[in-house]
Amino acid sequence: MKVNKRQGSDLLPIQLASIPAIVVVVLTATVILYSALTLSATNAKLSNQPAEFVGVNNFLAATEDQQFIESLLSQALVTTLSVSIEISLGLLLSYAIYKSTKRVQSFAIVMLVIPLSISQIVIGSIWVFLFNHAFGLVSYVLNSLSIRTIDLMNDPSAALLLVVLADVWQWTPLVIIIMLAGMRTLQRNIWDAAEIDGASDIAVIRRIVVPALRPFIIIAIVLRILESLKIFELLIPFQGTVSLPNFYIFTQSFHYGELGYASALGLLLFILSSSILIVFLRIRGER
Amino acid sequence: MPFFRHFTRVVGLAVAAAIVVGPIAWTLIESFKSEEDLISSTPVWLFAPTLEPYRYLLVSGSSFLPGRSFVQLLLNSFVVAGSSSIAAVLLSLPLAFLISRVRSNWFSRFSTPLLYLSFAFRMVPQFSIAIPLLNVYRTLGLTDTLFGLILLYSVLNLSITLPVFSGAFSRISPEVNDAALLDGCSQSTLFLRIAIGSIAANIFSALPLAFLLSWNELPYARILTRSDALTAPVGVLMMIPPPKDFDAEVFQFMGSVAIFQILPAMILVLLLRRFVLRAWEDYIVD
Repeated sequence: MKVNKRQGSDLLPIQLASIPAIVVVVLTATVILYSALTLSATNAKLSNQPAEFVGVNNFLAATEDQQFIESLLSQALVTTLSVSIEISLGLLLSYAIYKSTKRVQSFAIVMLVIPLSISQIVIGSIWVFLFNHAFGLVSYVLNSLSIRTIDLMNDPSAALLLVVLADVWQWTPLVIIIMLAGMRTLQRNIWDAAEIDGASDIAVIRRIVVPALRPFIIIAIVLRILESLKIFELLIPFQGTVSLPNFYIFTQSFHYGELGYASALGLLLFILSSSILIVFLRIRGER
Repeated sequence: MPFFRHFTRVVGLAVAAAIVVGPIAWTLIESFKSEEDLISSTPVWLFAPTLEPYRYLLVSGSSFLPGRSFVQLLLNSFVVAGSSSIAAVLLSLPLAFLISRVRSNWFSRFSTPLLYLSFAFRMVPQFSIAIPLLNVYRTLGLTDTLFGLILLYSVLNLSITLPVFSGAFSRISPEVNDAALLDGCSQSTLFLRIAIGSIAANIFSALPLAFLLSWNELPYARILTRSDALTAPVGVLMMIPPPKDFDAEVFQFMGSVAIFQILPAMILVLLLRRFVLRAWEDYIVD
């Protein structure tokens, strides 16, 4: 639509009404960034005692912080495993749901919202207890099949896999919902023909669904990667067996009161997650 | 072959449904068991139900909260989640309309980064933001106030409402637009009378999404509230029965908490079922 001069000036009330939103976003971002930069250059403590300027020392300390580096490595493992499982499972299941009747579809959507509506601390507890060595249901079933179980709370790498499992359980539904939303934008007949020609479900998904849903898959991957960098509450029931960066920053700031150092770690994590976002925007822009 | 194909799909879906519902159903059932039955090494199928965990959550556990009952915290959560979702909708409607209308270069050079900025608020790990924010809130005296939380959650919710609404506005057919303008309708009347009405479905798809995300939000609330503005998720954290070592008692407690998280979501989804997929379609296509 061509906007002529009269209509342009006509927009003034709407322009004025937009100002609050712009101000809120820009101001919040500026204030937080400024505060993060100044705070991370000090040795500020939670207890409000006067802080001293320490320059880049916090960032230098971070590179030598073994626990922080370990938490980053754990994060890489958790993210890789959970995101790849979630995307593949999500594709398979969304295709099966899409192919079923309308009634199954709407029932499935209601079911899928359940894991998404429960907070991660409850989900973490559920899985920790399902696998509880003494009275968990999964341990019971495995034991009665005479499979030996281990106490996950004493085995950090096994506990990490349990984190992946809980994450997959909670977030695969989101991937399914995103894929279903994507499939609704496609024309149904593009895969019906392939099916009549005898292509298997897996072949249809690989050759037709994946290329057609590319933008949706990219978004699902990025949302999931960024979201998995935010894992925090899920780890509370693990009681320190597992530590991921976001959780580690929390313990640094609120258990040890190292606000300045934690703020520096937070900036590093911010740089990591925004570079993932920027790479994604590039990929999306090339489309 | 068609039978086999159908069979594998149905079995796959049934297994998936069982995996989704199973752990939740188990948790809810366990929350009615007495502690003795709960920790028995062989599962107890028949048991005399107890409401103790629920009594703890709603009544006796409140002794761990600073002078407030859990019901009051639920109310706080409701106020914060509700007003921040509505605030985000009201704040973003004019801006989204403007973004969809103005096609000039300088404006899109400004509005695109703004959209990404609002998106980044939601996607950045919370403690990257929460720690500097605590510093700012302390200076401004906003810690432990409902207003402080509502302000923050509104900004977070803009990451949902802004892209959804600006996409929806730009999909209003140009004929409607031109007809209204030709009839001498001003842009603001067009906005108020026609545009908002025609994206009502999108508003109803974004609102529950924003509400649920704020309803269960823990990390920010954990850091920014202490007593007056405590929300239910932080209360849950405080009420974990001591010693906080995630034993059977804690598990029962979590089961009773789960109900308060599933119920509102279920009600919203059942009411707004047809908008759920739409919300994501809007969010991603735009």
